[in-house]
Amino acid sequence: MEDSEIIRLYFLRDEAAISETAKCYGKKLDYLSMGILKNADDAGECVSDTYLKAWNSIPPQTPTYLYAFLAQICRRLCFGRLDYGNAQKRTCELVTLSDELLCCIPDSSAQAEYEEGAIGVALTAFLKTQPEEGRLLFLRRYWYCEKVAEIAARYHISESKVKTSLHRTRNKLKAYLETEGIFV
Amino acid sequence: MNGMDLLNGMGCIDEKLVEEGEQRTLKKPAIRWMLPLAACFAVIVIAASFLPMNQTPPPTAGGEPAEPPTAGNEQTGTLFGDTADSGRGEDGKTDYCPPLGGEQLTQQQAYAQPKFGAYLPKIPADYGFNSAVAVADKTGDRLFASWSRGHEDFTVHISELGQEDKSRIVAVEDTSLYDMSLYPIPWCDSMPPDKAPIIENPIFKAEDLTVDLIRLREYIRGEQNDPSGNSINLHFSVLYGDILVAVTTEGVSAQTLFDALSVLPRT
Repeated sequence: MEDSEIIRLYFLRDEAAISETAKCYGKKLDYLSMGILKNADDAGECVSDTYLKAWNSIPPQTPTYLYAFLAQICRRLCFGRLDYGNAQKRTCELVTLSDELLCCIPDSSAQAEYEEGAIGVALTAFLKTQPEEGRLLFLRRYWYCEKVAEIAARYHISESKVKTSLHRTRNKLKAYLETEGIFV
Repeated sequence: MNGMDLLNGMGCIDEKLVEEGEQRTLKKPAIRWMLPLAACFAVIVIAASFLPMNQTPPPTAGGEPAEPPTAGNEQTGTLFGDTADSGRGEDGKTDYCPPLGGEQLTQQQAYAQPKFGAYLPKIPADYGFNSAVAVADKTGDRLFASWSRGHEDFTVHISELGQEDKSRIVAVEDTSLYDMSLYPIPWCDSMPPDKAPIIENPIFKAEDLTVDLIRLREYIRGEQNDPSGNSINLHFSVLYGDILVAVTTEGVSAQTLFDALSVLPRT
């Protein structure tokens, strides 16, 4: 079923909207949440909560890209489920990801606090200036939280190429944040 | 402000970028896909020049008639059924959604996978299973699995030996094609460009595999800000008949890897 038809079901408050969404995007959302949480029970609950949140959000919202809309909700729910206060509960991969991004912050000792939304706007502006390859690899790594090996397998390229590209994009992000005067 | 804040902030980027990350594939340089096409075309032309129009193909050594040459290989993966399809009907409408990255498997399902399961190494019990994915598309069937222990990683990628892989099969005598101690990082400066694809991921025949051979594959990235930057890394492939098992590890010893690979395929 096309996205527009699924969204129409949401607007009609037809519960088939949920089953059609699950049929179309359930596996992708499962994969995303499992990648972040590494726990089938938690991942399943987050995906179910995603459907509920979508049901409550559409209408009034009308997503332009239904999967991106659902995935944003799902990713946020997964991150919310992680206990940031207890590093042992965070998945090893997520610790690695946050450590990798730490080196992008010009002055990580600065205690400046920014809204997630403001960071998102800055990252969007930065990513739109990047070449397609670097942008896609960066998104797969830091948005979809995929392992380097998975990204390499997805795009049929070597792991060293993925690592090199990510390293360059992180360096460029650091330079971008510095020149924009953000986070210093 | 820390790395986790940035990671959270990634969740708020424009939906259009997220959609792009989901839908787009990397464009390969034209020459990459034109080469096999040109090679196929050349084979067809040469074969056609040797065969008169109405002659049946000559019998093979076993007495069976040879298959006539075909213009293209239409075979798609058959292991995983519908997942090999693009997911779109002739009218362009989505009639179902293929799973992202293939079919997700449990560890048990991965080991029981009919085609490649026997080639999946047994990993030490203290490694946690991350994921396993079975993929079938026009480039062939593949099985991917990964495990972790802290910052240590153990990933395996199994496929059939492709035509393009054959150039990476190395002889043990030619250490210049796989001894990583000869090539300090950055590799772009130390590896000869024409040999780099082989040196980065050489293919050893299963019967050639030894612990000492694997030790020659060890390298350390030594990157700052990388928690596993000083771990031992290993990356190479092993050929069992026509099945190719590629391994990528961080923090795994050569002995552990040898123990896991030397008993394949499991019966």
